[in-house]
Amino acid sequence: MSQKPALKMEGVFKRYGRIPAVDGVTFEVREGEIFALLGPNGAGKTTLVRMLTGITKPDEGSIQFSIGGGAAGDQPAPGDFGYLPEERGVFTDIPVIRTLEFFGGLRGMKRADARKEGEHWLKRFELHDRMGDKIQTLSKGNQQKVQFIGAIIHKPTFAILDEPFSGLDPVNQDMFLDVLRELRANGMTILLSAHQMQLVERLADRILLLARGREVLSGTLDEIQTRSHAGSTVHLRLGAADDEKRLADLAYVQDATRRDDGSVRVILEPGATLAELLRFAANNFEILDVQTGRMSLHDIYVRAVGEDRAAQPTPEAVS
Amino acid sequence: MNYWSTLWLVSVWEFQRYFKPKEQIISIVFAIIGGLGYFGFKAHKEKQSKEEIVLLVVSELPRPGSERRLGRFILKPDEGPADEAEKKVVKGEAAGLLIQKSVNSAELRTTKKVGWGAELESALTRQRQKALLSATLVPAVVMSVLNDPFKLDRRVIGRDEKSKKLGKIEAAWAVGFTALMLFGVFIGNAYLFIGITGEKQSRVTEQIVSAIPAQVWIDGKLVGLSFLAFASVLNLLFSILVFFLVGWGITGNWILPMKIADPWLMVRCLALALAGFAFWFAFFGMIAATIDNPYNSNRAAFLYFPVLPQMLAFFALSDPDAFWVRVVALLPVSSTTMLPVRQIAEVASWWEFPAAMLLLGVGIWILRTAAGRIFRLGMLMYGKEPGLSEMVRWVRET
Repeated sequence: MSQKPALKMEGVFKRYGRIPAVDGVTFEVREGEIFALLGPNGAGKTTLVRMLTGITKPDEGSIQFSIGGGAAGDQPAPGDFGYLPEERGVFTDIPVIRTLEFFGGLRGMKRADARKEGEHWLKRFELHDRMGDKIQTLSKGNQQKVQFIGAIIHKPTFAILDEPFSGLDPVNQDMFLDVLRELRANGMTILLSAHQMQLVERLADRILLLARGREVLSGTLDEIQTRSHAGSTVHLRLGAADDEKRLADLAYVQDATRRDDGSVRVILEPGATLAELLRFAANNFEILDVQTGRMSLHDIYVRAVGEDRAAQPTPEAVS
Repeated sequence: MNYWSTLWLVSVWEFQRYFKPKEQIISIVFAIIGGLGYFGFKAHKEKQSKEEIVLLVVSELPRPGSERRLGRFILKPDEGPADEAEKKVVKGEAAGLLIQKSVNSAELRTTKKVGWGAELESALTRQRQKALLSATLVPAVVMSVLNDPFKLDRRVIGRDEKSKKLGKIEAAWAVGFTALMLFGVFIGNAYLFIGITGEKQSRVTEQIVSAIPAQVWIDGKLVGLSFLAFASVLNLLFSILVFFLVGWGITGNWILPMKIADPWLMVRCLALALAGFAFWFAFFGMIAATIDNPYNSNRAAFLYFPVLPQMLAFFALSDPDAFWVRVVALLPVSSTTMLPVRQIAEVASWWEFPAAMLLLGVGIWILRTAAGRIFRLGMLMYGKEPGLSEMVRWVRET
């Protein structure tokens, strides 16, 4: 993976009326990487993506693409760029292959080339026998596949994929992961936004977490785990009578909560050792099972968003 | 890809998306079936109306007449009595029995209800009039003049010599043209509304506008749908022609008025129609881009705007060279229907067509630019519709 930036966004602001949708966001996406944009609803992801696709313009700040061998500019050439919108952005009353030919045409492909490439991808996604069917006859997951093919059919150097895993079952999610890795291996730079943290964790080279239009965390998963002081996670299966609340009171424990399966998930403070926790647990509880790991992206995401909300003054406090 | 190649791609896409050859063929098949049904029934009725009808006449008058013919009725005197004559009718020897009560009245007896009763009554009346007039010894020349209508030539004075009212055939063509225009505008508008609002709701628009400029997308829609409306009108015209061809095949009579056979006039009318479609679709494209939900938006009422110039065209039929007609025949909102009326009436000056086309071109350009700008921002609005002031601001700012 190159360190050369394919996209640079610096100090970008976008307001709707008095409400800031994107509030001074700065980041860069490097050539050939998969960059994930995360954030809760209303975090400003859609606004940010729309600015990247050129549908809206930032009020302040700059967006620079350096892709396709051309000079840096605020908008890439259509053929260098692919976009998968969040919702079903397809013509449902048109046959699958005709839709793909049209999307390819919009990106500068000849109809025959688009058809050939479309057939290749439909085979890859096991939809070849449906290429003459109208899109409305396909399942939600299969419609998502067609929309995805439409976004990358012209082999763009930079693709923005908004919720690419939406509507997919686990088998197809894995298929998409493989395809995205393959595209990255072929040199495509991908910016994706998704809610499926476990998939982002497996796929993304770097991550940007947004909340209320601002950056909360960014970097590789390791960097984020370090910066967010994400300690080790320990799953303890304790005896029935044992009270996990005593664990939460320990100074080196960030959080201790009982899960639905009965186990207790303990998050250690950075620097705390597993031995300390196990010593305390052995002396005070009946330990049935122990599993250790690092704090997941899901946990980091939930905690960071929660902390951001808590840090915001309430309307009462302001007044 | 440059502007023109993208415009071509989008125009073809929009045209092919909604143009269904199967539906066009079905409309022609319907025209054939309709023609066979209508003209077949008409021919059958005409054939029936020419058949001779034999009636037995039993007279209660002192001097019964001899056998005579009244139109297609053959009146055969029967010696009676009426009951015996009635049996002959029941046997099918005659279509009915006419019992003449006096010189002014008779009774008709038939085995079933007949459709020629009024025709017989009229024939008997004429025959009685003729007999009465003969009795007054009026000369034959006077008799023929008595039956002729008074000849009245009407002429408007104090106006241009060209000023005239449209004849029946010209008026039929003018009405037909305006009706076809309305048909085409409504067809195109329906697709435009469904297309723009549907794509906006499914966010397919975002994918497209990330690839090509919003203006090209809206321009392509306008061009594609204008040709779609044009093709639909041509197909309707062809279906009408097929309908009358079937009639010609059955009856041997060509009843479609063909007095308007000037090809240059046809070309001008079709050019105005095409430009008119583009004008109205640019207008509706602008409106549709602001609509959030086509099923409950009160802006759908704008669909009925083109009806107004159509109504004006009907008023213009009675005086196509009136001052107000000359003015509205140049305005882009009404020229597509009003100028053809003047052209068909042959009262339009040579410069009116290029002037109207020029003004239409300017109108289309302004509206498609505004539509593109409003579309670019309107497609991002979900759940609410922008107000007029907001739209004006968008057009100015973008």
